[in-house]
Amino acid sequence: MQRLSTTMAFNGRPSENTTNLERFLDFEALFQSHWTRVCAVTYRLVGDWAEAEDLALEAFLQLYRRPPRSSDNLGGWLYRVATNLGLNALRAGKRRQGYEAQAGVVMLENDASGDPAQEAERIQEQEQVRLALRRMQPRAAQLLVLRHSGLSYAELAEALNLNPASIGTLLVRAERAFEKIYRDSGATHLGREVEDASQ
Amino acid sequence: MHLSDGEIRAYQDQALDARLSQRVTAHLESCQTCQARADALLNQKFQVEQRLSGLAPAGDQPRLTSDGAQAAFTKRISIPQKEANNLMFKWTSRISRPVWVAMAVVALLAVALAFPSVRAAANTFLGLFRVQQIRVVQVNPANLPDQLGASREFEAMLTTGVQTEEYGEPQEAADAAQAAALAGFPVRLPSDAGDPVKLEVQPGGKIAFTVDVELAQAVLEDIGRSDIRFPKELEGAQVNIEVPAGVMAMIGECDKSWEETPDQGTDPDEGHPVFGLDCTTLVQMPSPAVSAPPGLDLSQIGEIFLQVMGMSQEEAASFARNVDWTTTLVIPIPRYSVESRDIEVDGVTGTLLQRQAESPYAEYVLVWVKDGILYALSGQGGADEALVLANSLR
Repeated sequence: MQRLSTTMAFNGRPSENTTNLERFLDFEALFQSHWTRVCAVTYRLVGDWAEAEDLALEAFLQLYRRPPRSSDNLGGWLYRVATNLGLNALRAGKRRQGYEAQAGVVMLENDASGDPAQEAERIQEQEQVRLALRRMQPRAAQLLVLRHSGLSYAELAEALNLNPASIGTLLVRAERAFEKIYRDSGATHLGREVEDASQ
Repeated sequence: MHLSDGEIRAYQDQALDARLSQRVTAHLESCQTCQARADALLNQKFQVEQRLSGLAPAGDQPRLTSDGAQAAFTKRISIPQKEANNLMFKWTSRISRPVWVAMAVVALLAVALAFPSVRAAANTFLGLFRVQQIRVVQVNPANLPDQLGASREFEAMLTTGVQTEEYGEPQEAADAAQAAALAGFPVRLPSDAGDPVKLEVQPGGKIAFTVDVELAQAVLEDIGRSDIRFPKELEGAQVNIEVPAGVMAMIGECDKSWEETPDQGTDPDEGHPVFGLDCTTLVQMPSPAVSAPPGLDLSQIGEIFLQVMGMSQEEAASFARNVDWTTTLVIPIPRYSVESRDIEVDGVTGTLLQRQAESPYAEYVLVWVKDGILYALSGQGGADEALVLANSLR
């Protein structure tokens, strides 16, 4: 494969920046280091590998087309953009999720291999968690998703441009907000969205 | 002295260095109050962990390997990038009403903050500016720099030079009295809204900005406006904006959802909340206060801001000279899709913004300032609907 770093330009514009990019961007190494983990982050938000991969690719594409000024923290930048994309997809997919939830119920009814009741509960739980993330302040949702994707405090601070000393406090706040929204939106949301989708 | 929640949480996550960790261990052993809070926080942490763990991939991996992903990536970059929408059209193409005003304010702040014409003078502030009036400036969307939204220099400036702090989370209030208690100012509502009213108190916050002249000039060059020069003596100047808590009243069917951010990959904070069609909203908040060092040449800042917004140098200079920038909130609107006029409202002169007459959507945004409080009322309909509600505030 042609080395991507040799083809870099901003927005398709060859410029003196190309030299800078060549110096610090090595997309092959970036893909090797971050692809699986970035996909795992977006998967948490959308719950589908095809869409998760598409969003992860989009994050790399953003890095290619609009790289950050500094090359010091490309990994953090990728995770931030990937969660942004995932949250946007989550919001945009509200309607579709209703259809999918409905389709999931039908699928479960036809699937005799597992415990349908248990599986339905699991899917409902996932949808409820995603609904809460969608309704949260985006920055707080990003923090939770990235923390639970395994990023350390230092990595979180880099990814979200936060003071490392404030991560603990922000996590506590984000968890409180999540729990409140999760509980408030609770038991009825899935039924409501299925109802929406069927209208 | 008790431990903070953040310290306890970092301790539980083993994110403290050895010395701090020992100090927290010792404190927890001797302080029942903190130990009880630590137990509660640990419980909350496990609870959330358990819920979020359900989203993790169940042992499987992406279908694409990293090599396959690189191949897909190479294919994708060969597709021409869709032309970026004009920035102002992005802001206003779908007027989501109060948000539209909020975005105009944010746009103003974001750009104006980039160009404070001041010399650094630590902690000595001459000016404390508060909004007393509003003026609208029409800009030609075609002249706006397309690249501002995509400028990595602009993003770098916002991420390196701007610090923000929010003073809490939004809270619902049962009535005006409770909202007033939470927000810290008298809250007024239409005397006969006719529909149920929901109240949400938005927390206040603080924005601090330090000027990096080199970076600011790089932004101008990045957006193709290297003709605008940025005075070097402004290096290091610091500007602070204190944004008080505000209250949003949602009248009618105001089930808020979020619209996808048009330019994916940008900050999701920029997404648009979208309200139902039969929703009228009233936002009220005390004026944000801006403080800056002595020597601030507001007219010069305003002129640069207006030029970036697409005005010619002559137009910008003329407008900037005739505005009292210490007390005036200047809202840029696109010349060909939104019209504005002064209107008497609530005993003062306000500004009514409406879509052009040929638009199929009759929507308004009415903004005014009274007794130091900034009001923005928005909904379906025209001036009559707006005035009935605005003039009935109690």
